[in-house]
Amino acid sequence: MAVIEVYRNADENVLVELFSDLEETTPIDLTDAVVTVLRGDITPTVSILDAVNGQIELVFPDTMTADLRKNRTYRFTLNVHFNLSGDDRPLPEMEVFVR
Amino acid sequence: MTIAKVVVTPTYRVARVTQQGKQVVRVSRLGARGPAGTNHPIQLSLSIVGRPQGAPNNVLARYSPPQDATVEAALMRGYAETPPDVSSTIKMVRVSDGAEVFRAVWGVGENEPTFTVTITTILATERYRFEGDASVDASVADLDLTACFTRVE
Repeated sequence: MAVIEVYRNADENVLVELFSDLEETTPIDLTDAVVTVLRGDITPTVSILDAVNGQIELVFPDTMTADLRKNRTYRFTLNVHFNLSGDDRPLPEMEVFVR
Repeated sequence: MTIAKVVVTPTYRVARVTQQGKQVVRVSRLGARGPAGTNHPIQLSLSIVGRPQGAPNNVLARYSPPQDATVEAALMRGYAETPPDVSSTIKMVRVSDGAEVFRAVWGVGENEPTFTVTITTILATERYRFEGDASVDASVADLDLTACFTRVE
């Protein structure tokens, strides 16, 4: 499980990179993909930063982190939907710990 | 399509601290610039809002770029919520040690001035760590500094 630390009242961005191998040499092609927050008690803004290189950007704006409580953990799960194949690939749950 | 590995990296962080009467914004970014050979400059914007406490008022904003970053453009804009406009009185000063220093002076009777310091940097490496400090040393109270990064295509 990936743990993301954010500071309350701060702007935070997180880079998520997807690979088809454990050696991180082959990124997942997200050209035809749509990434959304599948479920969770926090909903960062999700966008594909670099489709060919499997890069997704999560944004936690200060307006969002201001509403979070310090020393508390929030959880969310991303889903990657591939339009061409129709496949859904939920990613492992991520934790957000608030400093 | 099998996703074998998910790598999560914090890409930027903004922290505010107060040091000896100065307010400091500490910004850092760790991430990837994009495909090798492409050029994605990162634009750092600092917004400084202050309330005049005395006159004349003087704001000094200082930005220290990381060693491996090249400051491509630096610009400071400012305005007052109430006229007269203070834009013409804002001066930008570059100092010899590589830091960018912005100085703004405004007159009696002007309040709630807002300044935006925009710095565009070129980062040297494909996967990078970017850390810089910005501080304001001013005869003002209730200063609020914010910073954000924007990817420039």
